[in-house]
Amino acid sequence: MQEDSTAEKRLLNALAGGDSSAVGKLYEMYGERIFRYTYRMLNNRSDAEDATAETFLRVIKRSGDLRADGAFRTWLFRIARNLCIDKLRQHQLLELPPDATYSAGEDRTALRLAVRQALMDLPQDYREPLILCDLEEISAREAADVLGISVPALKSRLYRGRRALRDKLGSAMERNV
Amino acid sequence: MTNEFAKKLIDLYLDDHLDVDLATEFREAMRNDPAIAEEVDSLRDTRTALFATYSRDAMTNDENRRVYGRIMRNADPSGIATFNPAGQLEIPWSEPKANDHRL
Repeated sequence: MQEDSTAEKRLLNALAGGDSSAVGKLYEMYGERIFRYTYRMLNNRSDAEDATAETFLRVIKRSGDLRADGAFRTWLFRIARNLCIDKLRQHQLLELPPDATYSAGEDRTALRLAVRQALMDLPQDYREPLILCDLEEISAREAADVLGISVPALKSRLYRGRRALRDKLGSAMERNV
Repeated sequence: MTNEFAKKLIDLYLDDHLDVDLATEFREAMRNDPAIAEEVDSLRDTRTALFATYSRDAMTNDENRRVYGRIMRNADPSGIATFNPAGQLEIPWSEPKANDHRL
């Protein structure tokens, strides 16, 4: 489940020992993934930048709590998730941002916009498992840990979310697939 | 077979979590029941559309530089890490990634 676990443990130990520069290496390992995840949660690149930076800054602040026990990625996603939820509550980011649009000549633009809107319109309980499991391709166990729910609850929400997304897309899918 | 159980089976099949024998049986069931096949196809198409839509979410170099710089300014208040990319730290955007769709 954990990638590059040896290097990760070394970096976490360094960070916990006060070497804050180790966060740069951790950013190399996870920065891109956290950005993608926060962008998918927030649907706004500028907010995703903020959330990604803040996630790693919190890692620095909480470095004394770090344990190199293999659960770092889950912890990191949980921090990012909490920041996204705070941002969504603050700004109610429900509309499509300008950067979600594509060039006019691009194929399937309408479908992509419909998919983004449909995902954002899903209840959070359905949207988050879809982002973690179907987009981030995180295991059900780890996604359940990030969300603080049981694996059966995660799977139930994931399965319902897939169907809810399918049903919301309905006519858009028929036109484009 | 309950409707809920059938739905779970469909999702397990889509997630490739059925063992070989059960997956074979499931494919046979799909051939015999167009409703099952239609459900599988529509969910698979939705997932394909989801992937296609969100496959362009990679950070740009500018975004990467801004986020990294902001983190490192806090990690190293002197700012040396931000302005000395040839130093001890490797800059994550310094080398193109093999799977970077922008290349």
